[in-house]
Amino acid sequence: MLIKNEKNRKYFTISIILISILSIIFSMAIGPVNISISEILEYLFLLKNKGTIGIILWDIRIPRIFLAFLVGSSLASVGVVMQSIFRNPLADPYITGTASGAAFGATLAVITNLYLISFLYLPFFAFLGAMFATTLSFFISYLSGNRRNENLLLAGLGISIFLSSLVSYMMYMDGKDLDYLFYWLMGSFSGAQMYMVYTVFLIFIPSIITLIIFSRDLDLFMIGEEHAKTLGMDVNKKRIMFYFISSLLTGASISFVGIIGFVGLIIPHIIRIIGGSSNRFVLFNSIFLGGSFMVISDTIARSFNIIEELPVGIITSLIGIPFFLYLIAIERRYWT
Amino acid sequence: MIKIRNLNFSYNNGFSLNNINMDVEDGKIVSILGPNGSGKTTILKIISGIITDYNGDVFINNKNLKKFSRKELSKTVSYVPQDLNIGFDFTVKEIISMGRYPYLSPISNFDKKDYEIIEKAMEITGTKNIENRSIKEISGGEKQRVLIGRALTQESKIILLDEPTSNLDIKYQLEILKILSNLVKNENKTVIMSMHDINLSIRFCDEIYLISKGKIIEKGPPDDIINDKTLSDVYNIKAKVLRNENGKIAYIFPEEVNGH
Repeated sequence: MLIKNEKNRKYFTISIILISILSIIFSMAIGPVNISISEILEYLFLLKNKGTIGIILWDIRIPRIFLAFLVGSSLASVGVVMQSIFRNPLADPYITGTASGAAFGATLAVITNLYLISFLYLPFFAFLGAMFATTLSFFISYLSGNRRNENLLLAGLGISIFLSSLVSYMMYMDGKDLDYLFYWLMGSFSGAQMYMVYTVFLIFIPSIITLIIFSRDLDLFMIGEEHAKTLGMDVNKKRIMFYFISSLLTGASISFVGIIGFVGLIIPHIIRIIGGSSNRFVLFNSIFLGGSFMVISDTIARSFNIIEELPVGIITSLIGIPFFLYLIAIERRYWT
Repeated sequence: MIKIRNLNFSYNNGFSLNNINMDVEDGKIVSILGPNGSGKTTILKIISGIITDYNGDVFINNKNLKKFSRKELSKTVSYVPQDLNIGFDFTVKEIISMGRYPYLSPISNFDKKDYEIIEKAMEITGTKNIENRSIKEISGGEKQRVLIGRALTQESKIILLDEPTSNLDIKYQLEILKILSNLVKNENKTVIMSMHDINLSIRFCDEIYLISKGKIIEKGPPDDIINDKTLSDVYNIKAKVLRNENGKIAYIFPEEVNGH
């Protein structure tokens, strides 16, 4: 914990918000066609959408950047929730199986062609899949009679790999091309559309507000179930609520962009190293840092224009995995 | 006031509590003594609402424990576990503030009164000077004081503690017990704790429950119930009970294990 004083934590939060705004504006400027910052501000604030710049900005870059921000925020927030309720700093939606469950659900909606009836089938099935996988991993570790972190994460990881394989299998059998599969397993914002932004936004806002309101419950999960009970918390009811919201957020994010790993892992951890584990602080800052991290990663991914743009999951993993390894090497004290 | 009648409970592993009856009056400091695995912690976990599938009745201020909501119970009874094992960074003040949880609605934040209660708890437990330290970097004795501080912000009349002095060196043991007896004296709290140290129990407690294999063997004021026989029954040891001229126990001196 680097900042222990509440006032300095506020300054930190303000600077994170500023960084988010700057990262969004700079990402709007970068691309095959460079747009100057003054032009961006002009088109944004005057709501100008005419001409080449207008089209590039409003139809291509803004949906993509906003979607990336919302997805990054969602995944980071889900990371905060999972790490708290599993009492493990290594939990994230990818490791607990939630993300693979969501991808599995969304894939079902794709191969059954339900998504052609309404695109809303995608997030809905993704939500069901996420809920199913999370509950299953919890149930399996519960059956083992040992609800300790290790079993839960191992079960989650197993389910995660299994469901990812099922996704690959279904895609192959359905004859989808490899690009499409690649996109699902590594994540990409290249197909971003404004309706996706609206859909994710509508799920994002109430979910995030609920999480912030109930962030004190996450603190109690962190210090342990027995503590939480004697402090008056209904542990089971709250756990179901947090599973539900995590699945909603993960489902909404993944249904349109595929699986993007490790954002939920590294973002909350960085915030905790800086300002401690109080979840109202961690959650609020993770929302902005997660969002801007994803925007920046995606900007790097689409700037890699050698042959084709890179899936963003490659960028987040290339940054995330070394950090993950660092955690394992340095933060052994976390495994109590 | 706590009344326990015909309390029975069994774990899957075969251990069970048998027909426990207890009466603890307000403003008393009471300890439960017994060997490891005798059921001390289990009794505390039942009163604090952690274990709920027991048989028999527990009354707190004449109200059945099963009729309490979680929040209501946490305002009446606080529980201080042996240790706080946590891999995450919280400051001492943040942990102590968590005792306010049952008083806050999700959207409300700490107000002036909450902060006063938190400050007072830190003062009583001597944790004010470490309020900004991380819970991960403080000593066992300090952690115990932090958890007692959290129990104080819960503003519960009854405080249960699970072996508050185990794992501490003698100075910290005395410190903790001093804090607890002051709480009983000055704040009119009721304290029930499980303990290992017979001598400290005798010195600080109004009443002792001797328990072995899930059964209460003897209960009463320390001077009345601690003797060669009860110690032999409960701990399976030969011990010398040294008494003052006025008959009060001065020191228990364990000599050897029975049958040796």
